[in-house]
Amino acid sequence: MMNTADKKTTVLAFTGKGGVGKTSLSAAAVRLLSEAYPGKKILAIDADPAVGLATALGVDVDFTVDDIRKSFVKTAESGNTSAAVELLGEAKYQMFDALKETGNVSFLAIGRPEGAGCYCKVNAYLKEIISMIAGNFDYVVIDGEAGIEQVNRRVMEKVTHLILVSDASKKGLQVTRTILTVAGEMVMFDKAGLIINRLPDISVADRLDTAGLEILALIPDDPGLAMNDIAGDSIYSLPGSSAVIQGAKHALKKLNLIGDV
Amino acid sequence: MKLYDECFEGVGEILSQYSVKSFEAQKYSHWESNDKNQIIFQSDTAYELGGGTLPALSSIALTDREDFVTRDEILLIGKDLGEIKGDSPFARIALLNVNEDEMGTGEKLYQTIRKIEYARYHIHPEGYMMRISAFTHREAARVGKDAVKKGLSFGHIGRFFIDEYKKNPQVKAVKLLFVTDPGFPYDKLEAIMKKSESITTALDHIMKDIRMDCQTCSLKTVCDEVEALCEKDK
Repeated sequence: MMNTADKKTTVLAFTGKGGVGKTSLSAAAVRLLSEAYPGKKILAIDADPAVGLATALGVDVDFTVDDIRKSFVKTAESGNTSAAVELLGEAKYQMFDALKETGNVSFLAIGRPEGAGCYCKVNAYLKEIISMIAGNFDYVVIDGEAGIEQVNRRVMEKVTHLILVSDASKKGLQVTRTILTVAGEMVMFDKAGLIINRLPDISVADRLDTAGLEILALIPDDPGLAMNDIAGDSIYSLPGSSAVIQGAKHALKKLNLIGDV
Repeated sequence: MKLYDECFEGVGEILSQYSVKSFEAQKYSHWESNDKNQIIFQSDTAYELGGGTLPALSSIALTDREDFVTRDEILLIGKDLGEIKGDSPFARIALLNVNEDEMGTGEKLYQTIRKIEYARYHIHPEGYMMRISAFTHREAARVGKDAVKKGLSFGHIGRFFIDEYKKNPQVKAVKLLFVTDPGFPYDKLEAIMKKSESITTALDHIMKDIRMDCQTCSLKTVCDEVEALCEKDK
């Protein structure tokens, strides 16, 4: 077994406006990485409150990080005070209950964001444990909320690859620029790139203002994916030739994360 | 220091009814330590001690009576790590002989006890991943397949605990008991452990002098006992 300090974990975060296909692309990336590297450990983190990545990967979620947060708050409210070392131990203990392991892919759902009240200390403990767990994996794929700052606040401080996802809409591309600006100010990534998804026609790509971002993939609208989603099937049901799988593969190749598989 | 003597007697009574295997602590000095973030994945796990709904107990009790803990000792009731084939019930009890003069009184006593107890958070033997819940008082452990193949034993694990406990200058000797026997009366042991934990909790409760209605407090009986024992110790 390798000490986590020796391990360099590659962390990919998919972010962008809602409804642009982040979840399907995150799931596709998990599938491609697990197929390309059967001996490597991959962690999929669903940081979207809707917990759609679980469905996309065919995972049943019964316990999320938010459930852990609630149990901490409930314990604190009942007057039970614990030392930091106990809280970290507890967060670690419960995080393993939330971690779903299937083959070389593990899954962790963050769940809904916290409600009213300041739970900064609890969030700090949970984030610490997520980072600790993530350090044991070779690849971490995060299906993010709209902005990177939520990923930063609720999941982990820094990602290695920030993958912005947009459709062809002006609003979608505007959101990606905002995310990139915020992420850049906070120095939270090593590499960034853009995937334009659900293009009605690939030829419109030339007319899009991508603000100089590297285009990782242009993905046409995929009726097969829509049917898959309607049926509630996982990404593993899609043929390898489907547009979303091919697009994700193209993006991962451009980022040198996979070779010709 | 008589606070936990009743617990010692209770554990001693249970032990007297079972066949106990003893390990010579000095023989188990070499086992690699991993970093604190070690994860043993399910696919790399041979079995879990205290996994799922199986008992996963742990407790600590301290005394200044040398006849209770005469020397460093590692004891086992049940199978050793290399003999266990699947998830197993589990208990770990640390009985410590301490120098009472160095334990302090009041808040210092409580903090010293907790500091000694927290030793378990600083132990990371390669291939042995503890899962500790202070909320539910469970201490389970995943044991790695590789570690079992390499011969990991409770002798090694016990040695880690003894060394860590003895980093505290108050600790003179440690008797460490592991239990994996499925037929063991874990419920009886759990009752003793709860008593031990409530004594420690009551110490904090008394020292903080929380103003509340003692007549309605669930810790009242234990607090009264602890106060009486503290008085005797003076």
